[in-house]
Amino acid sequence: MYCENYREMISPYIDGMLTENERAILEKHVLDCDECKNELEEIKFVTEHCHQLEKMPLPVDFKEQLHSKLVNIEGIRHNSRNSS
Amino acid sequence: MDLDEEKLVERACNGDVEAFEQLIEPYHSMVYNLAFHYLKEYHDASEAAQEAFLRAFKAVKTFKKNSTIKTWLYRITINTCLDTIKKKKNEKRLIYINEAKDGSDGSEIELQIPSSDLKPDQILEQKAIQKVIRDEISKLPKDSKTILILRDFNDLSYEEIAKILNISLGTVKSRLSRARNSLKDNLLKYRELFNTNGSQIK
Ligand SMILES: [Zn+2]
Repeated sequence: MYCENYREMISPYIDGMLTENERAILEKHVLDCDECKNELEEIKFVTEHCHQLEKMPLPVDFKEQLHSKLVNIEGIRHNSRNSS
Repeated sequence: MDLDEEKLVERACNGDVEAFEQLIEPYHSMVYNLAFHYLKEYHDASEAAQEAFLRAFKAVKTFKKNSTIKTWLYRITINTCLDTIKKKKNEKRLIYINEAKDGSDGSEIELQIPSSDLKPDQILEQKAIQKVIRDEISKLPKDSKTILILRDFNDLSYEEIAKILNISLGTVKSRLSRARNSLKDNLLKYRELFNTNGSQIK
């Protein structure tokens, strides 16, 4: 197998989506290959940072606004149902 | 879908706003955050998220009982955001023609990080890192951006993503791999920012 093949396994490896056998193969390779090891560390690092992105708090008036919009379209639908 | 949800869907189909609100309440934050990733601006994200819920309400009759509310809402939200972006691009083109004086394109975002135990300089640093990552994610091509947000921000499983995007598990795997690689490559130019934080990006 070429390094390229191992590289394709890095992302699913991080997600725990490799089979036991595939895991072992990749782990063995990165022991011998600094470039793939580096690649694994970098992608893992970036992925972990993505997971740590903070959730944005919902705007305070979000629910209220949504509620009036929902009532509004239901009202329109209701009226058109009645008139037809 | 559990029994409670099923009942709520049924009531929502009959135009029961309150039932629909109960049904979507657990997903407010998820939908809003998804929209924020696409639109990068509070007001636009809020509008798009609400639009997504309105579309869901109008289409609740088409909801299939063998799928989940979560994946269904994700799909609607993604489509709504992509439509909004398309619309905004068209509007922008018009604005450029009419008045190119303001200079700002409204894409700058100020991140609010909830208070934590970090020291002020660490907070600043973390804020900067988060902004850089969000910016770089948003610059990725549509497919890469979507899959990264779903997996690494929203923690969805490969199976859930496959259902939402209607693609195979193999495609999820390869697309995600490509997306993470691009993001990593694009982040290399911020090496110093990450290094101060004990990074492994060399
Ligand atoms: Zn290698």
